[in-house]
Amino acid sequence: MILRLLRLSLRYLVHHRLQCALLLLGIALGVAVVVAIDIANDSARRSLELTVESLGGAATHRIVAGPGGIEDAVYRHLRVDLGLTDCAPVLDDYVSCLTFHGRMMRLLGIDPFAEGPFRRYLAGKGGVTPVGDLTRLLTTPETVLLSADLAKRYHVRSGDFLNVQRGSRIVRLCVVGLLDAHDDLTRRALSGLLIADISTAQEVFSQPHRISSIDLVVHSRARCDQIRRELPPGLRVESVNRRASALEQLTDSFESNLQAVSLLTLVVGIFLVYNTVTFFVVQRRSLIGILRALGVTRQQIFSWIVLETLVLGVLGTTCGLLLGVLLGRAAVGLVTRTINDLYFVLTVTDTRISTQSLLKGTIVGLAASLLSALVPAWEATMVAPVGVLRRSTLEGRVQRAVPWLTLAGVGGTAAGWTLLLLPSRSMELAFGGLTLEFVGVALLVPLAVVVVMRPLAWLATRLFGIVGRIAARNVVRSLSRTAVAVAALMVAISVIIGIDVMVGSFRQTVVDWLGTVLAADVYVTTPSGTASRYDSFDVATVEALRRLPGVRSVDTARNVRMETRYGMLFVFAVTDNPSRTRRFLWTEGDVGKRLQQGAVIVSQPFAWRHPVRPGSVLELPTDHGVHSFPVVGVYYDYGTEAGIVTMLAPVYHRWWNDREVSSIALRLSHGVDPDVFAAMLRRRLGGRMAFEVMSNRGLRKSAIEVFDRTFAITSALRGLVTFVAVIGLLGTLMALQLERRREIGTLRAVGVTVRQLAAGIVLETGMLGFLAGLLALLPGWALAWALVFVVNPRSFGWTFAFLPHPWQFVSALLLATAAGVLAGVYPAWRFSRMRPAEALRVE
Amino acid sequence: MNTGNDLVGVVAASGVAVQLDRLTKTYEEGGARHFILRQASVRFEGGRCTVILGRSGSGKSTLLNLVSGIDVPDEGRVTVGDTVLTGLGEQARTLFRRDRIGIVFQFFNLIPTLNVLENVMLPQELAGMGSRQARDRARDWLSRVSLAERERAMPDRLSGGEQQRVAIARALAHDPDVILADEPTGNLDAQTGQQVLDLLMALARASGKTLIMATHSLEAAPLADAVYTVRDGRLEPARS
Repeated sequence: MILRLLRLSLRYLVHHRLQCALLLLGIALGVAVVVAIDIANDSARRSLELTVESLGGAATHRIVAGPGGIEDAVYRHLRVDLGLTDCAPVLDDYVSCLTFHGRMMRLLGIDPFAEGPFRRYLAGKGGVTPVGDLTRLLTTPETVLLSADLAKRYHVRSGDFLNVQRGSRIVRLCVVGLLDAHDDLTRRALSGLLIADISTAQEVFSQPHRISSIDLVVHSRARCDQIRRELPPGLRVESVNRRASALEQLTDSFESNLQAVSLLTLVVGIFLVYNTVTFFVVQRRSLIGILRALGVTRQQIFSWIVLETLVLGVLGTTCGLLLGVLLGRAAVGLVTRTINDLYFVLTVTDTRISTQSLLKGTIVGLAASLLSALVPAWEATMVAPVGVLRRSTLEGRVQRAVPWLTLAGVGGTAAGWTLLLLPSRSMELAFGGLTLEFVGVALLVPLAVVVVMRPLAWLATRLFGIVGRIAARNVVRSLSRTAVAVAALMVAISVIIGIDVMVGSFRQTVVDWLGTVLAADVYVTTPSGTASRYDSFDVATVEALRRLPGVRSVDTARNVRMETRYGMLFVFAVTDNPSRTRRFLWTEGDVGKRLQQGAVIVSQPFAWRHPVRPGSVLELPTDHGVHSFPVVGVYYDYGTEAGIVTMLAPVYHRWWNDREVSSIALRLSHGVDPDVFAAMLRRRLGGRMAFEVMSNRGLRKSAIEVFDRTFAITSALRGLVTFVAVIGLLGTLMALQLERRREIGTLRAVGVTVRQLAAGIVLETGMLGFLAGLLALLPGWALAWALVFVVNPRSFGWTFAFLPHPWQFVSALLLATAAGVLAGVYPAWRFSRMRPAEALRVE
Repeated sequence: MNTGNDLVGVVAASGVAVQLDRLTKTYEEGGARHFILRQASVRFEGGRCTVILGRSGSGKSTLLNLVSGIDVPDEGRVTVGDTVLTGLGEQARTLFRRDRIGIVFQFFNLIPTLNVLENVMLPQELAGMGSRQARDRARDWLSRVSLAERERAMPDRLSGGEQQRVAIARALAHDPDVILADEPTGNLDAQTGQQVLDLLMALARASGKTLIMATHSLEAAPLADAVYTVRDGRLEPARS
């Protein structure tokens, strides 16, 4: 029986191709966005793993030190005196490869003799065929190996030279061999690496006799403890897995936020599918009535509608998976770029389409289809045999349900806010609260439509006469349809308002923050900006800049990424006392004085992640062993959520053997134009040294560009949510107009012109859009508030000013109205073309 | 309820003649051309009630659609009064219909979002008449069809007979030259159908309108001034 019914479905769907396409689009877009974000997140995570793996290989542990690195004598001691064979020295950091158009590459300095148990690709194992004379890597200075794929991409052959830039130096390296990887994993691991002998790396990084870490293969805790005991102060042994997971934790919040927005697209998609399935049922009410009269049971009707939707769900999901893969490829770039900007330089970037992502998309698509079909299928079972349920009776039921829906809506909203306001750090609670709030607000829409349409109907009648009156009344009359469409668009517009206000507030806060933090006129930094220990200026360079005419004073900052017991963080050592330029959440005593005495201040994201309170101490690994630094303040910082510990340069120098400088801030004499000075500096030093010279204005602009890049993917998702909602609205309107076919025929028969009819339809859809926009203002504001005060602090540890701008609300209202008008254009065009005789023939 | 006899002489005669010349209307199905109307020619005199009889699907409704300008013929000419309808464009036909034609449908076709009064006001408002004047006139017509008490009711709250009486009021309220009724009793029981028929005929006569009624019911024939039948696409006089 069900199969026969499905055959009826096929004929019906062929006749209603547009509605069918809309339903497929609803599922497909929802699934596509979820899959795309999953692929992007998964790929970024995989890139992170590969980046870590490409450096560490099979190492289980690693001996690390502070920014000054490790004396290579330590390695000799371990190898020779302790007889530790499974250990290998590494000196690695970023270089900018000018030959590869400035691409950031990881230069990995290794000892080929010690590499056996570690990076198997260097031992000719692991599916790698060395091409060329690898022994030259050992015997000839300034030589490197790289992957055959990379060489092919940049048309480099063995024997060619590469120009790499390191801080202010440019070094020429000869390619002596290529590594041709046979398996995909190794190929990807190699794609961001330049491999050199450790002595070459020491030369490139200007770090004679120093290494950055020692890789170990240690399987017993006792052995690990023994090694630990042998190490000089300042050195420590850490697990490689812990390092990778610390990096992953950093990006977790960013990824979960993206997932939340992608799920929102799916929710809007479900609205769309629900609407379309409902329309399918409504339009076949008489058929269902006849079938019921002929003996088809309610259960069969229910199964029929659900199965029909599921079949379409399978089709939509398949399309969604394909689209998701395509979108995912585009999204990978955006996500990894953000991770590069904010967290960690991924030298390996690749798109990984996992079975898990596709499976997740399939489940999500089918579940959404099923969920969307349940209510319409139930509605279908309520159709009386032959005696076709009147539309007005159906709408009457909805009208009667309005008080209950309202009650449920109030309950949902209240429950949502309760969850949001609970004193907790749980992201799940925050997202759960937001979901409940949205569901609650959506349930309030029917009442809101009835209430708001009263004055709107009056206005529409005044402005457009009888056509306006009919258009306005249609909105209320078809409440069961219009309320769902308005709710879907309202959710989308709320998301737009919420994200716009949040991003706008955040942006303004960052702009203000940059204004206070960037007090100097011109900044000189190294080009890579990777905060690595070797990417720096020496003291002589600083002095040379100090002597330049027009320079009033010079401040320096040392920015070093450090692995600590708190995870990865940045230590920021400054000459200019930050107590004057920073805004503090809390302080203890005279911050300026305490900093001079050896205390530190920490950034807000760090304090959020770790329980730092007045009087806390931070244990940091210094070159003289672990030292406890008193914390005397927590300051607002929006540079990185990784967390920053700031101290004065003399304190840093006392604990770390590192006199290098990461950035130089120049204050200019009165009357010297910063932009002119920066241009002059670039001209004078450009040929000899690699500097990034930026005026205060230029640096602020550059920082804001990074900020905007970070939210690029959010904006893209926001656009997609709107698109899905507009498509949903279009579907609803098509459905509504098709249901009104005979009415439209009558109107045309009694003298309504084509233009009046089109105006009426567009007016109706415009009112729906306007209504959605109007109803979205408050939930949008509430969402923004929740994002600023609940989600962001819990995700990233940032708090920032809540700065809603009226224009954000006005533009959202205009956008909603425009979306409504746009969604009405096609039905208006279609029904205007329909001959009245044709429309009347429906009966 | 008023019957037609009570209303005679209420409104001055204003009906115009309707002339059909060699009207042909066809449709295509499976590559073959089927004739709905074949070279149909006839003149419906002004101010008279004409009944067109024919089986379902014989082309009666098509004929009325051509007279109202809702549809256009493949060949031939429709003249209403001094207006050649077939020479007009879509917009002009719509405006002509709005001002000079009143239509009564089998399924009443009231606008469900408008109440009874607003439904009757609709053609007048479309014609640009002021609200107050349109309301007064609609109330007047509602009292003529004995529905003054129900002016605030929505169409789905009315019985079939009541809905059709509203439809008749709507068709006449804007003072058209020609009233077209397509199976006006087709969806009503016999008794209500007869009442509606009496009312429609009486109002049309009283106002001097040209009434052309398509029906398959023979009960209408004795009340008409002229009777035609549609058979095999041809229009033939049964009584004139």
